[in-house]
Amino acid sequence: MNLSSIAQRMGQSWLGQTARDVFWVFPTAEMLHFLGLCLLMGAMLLVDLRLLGFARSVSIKQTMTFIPVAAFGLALNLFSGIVFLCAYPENYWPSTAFRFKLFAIILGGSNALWFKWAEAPRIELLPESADTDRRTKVVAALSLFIWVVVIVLGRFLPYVSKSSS
Amino acid sequence: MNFLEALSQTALIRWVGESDWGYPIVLTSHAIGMALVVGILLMFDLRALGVGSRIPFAAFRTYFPVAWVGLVINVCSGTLLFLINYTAFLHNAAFITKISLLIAAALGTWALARDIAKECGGGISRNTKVLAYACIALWIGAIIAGRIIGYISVPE
Repeated sequence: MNLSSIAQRMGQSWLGQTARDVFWVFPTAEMLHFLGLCLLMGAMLLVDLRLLGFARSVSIKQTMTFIPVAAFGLALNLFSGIVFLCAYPENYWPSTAFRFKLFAIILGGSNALWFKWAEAPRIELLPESADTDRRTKVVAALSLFIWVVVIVLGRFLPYVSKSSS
Repeated sequence: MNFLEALSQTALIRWVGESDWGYPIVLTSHAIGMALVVGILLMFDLRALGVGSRIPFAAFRTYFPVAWVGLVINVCSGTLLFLINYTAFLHNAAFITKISLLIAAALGTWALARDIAKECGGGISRNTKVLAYACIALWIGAIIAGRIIGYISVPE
C-alpha cells in the first residue's frame, strides 16, 4: 500500500465526505486546531521554560502537572489534522511543507516520550528548587523549538504548495 | 480614512500584500504570537481553576513577559494584516467581533490578575473562578471569530 492509495482512501472515507459536504465541519476543525495549538504551546512553555532555568522558585514537578493539558492540546490537533487530511488529501500529501511538518511532529512526539521515560525519572530525584542538568535542558529547548517549527510549517503549507504547482 | 489609505499604500504593506513571502511570514508570526499570549493566559486561567494548584501565582510573573512578547508580535502582525485590506475588514462582522472579544479577554485577564492578587494566601473565590471561565470562553470566542473572518465574503 503506497502513499497515494492511503491518501485516496482517506479522501473517500466517511470522514472525508462529511468534511467536504457539511459546511461547518472544516472550519470547526480549524478552530479546534488553533485552540489545541494554544493549549500545547502554553503548557509546554510553562514546563520547558522552568526546565531551562526560569521561574526557579516553582517546583518542576508542579509545572509538570500541566503536561496533560499539552497532551490534550496535541490530541485535539491530531484529530482536527486528520479531518483536514481526509477532506482534501491532495492538498497535503504531495506538499513538501506537509511532509516536513509530519516529520517535525514525529520528532516532537519522540522528544516528549524521551522526556517522559529518560528525563522525568531523573527529575524526580532532584531536590525541589534544584536546576536541571544540560541533558534535560537540551530536551526542553528542542521541545519548544520543534513545536514552533511545526506551527511555521503548518502556516506556510498552503502558500508553499501553491507556489510550487 | 485617508490616514489608513496612506498607510495601506506604504512599501511595507504592499510587500506584505503582494510579495510571495510577505503574507505567509506575517500570518505565521500572528500564529506564533497567539500561541504565546493565548497559551500562557489560558494556563493562568486553568491555574485559577485549580490545575497545578501548588504552583504559586507569583510564578506567573516570570511567564507573563512571554505573553507580553506575544501581544506585541500580534498587535504588529495584526496591524499589517489589517492594513492590506482595511475596508474589507471594517465591513467584516467576524473581524469586529474578534477585536471586541480580544478587548474583553484582555480586560477580563486584567481583572482576574487583580482579584487573585487580592485573594493571595486564601482560596480562590467562586466569583474569581467564574471570571476565569469567562476569560477562557472569550479567548476561544476570539479564535472562532478569527477563523470565520476568512469565510465571510469580503467586499473589495
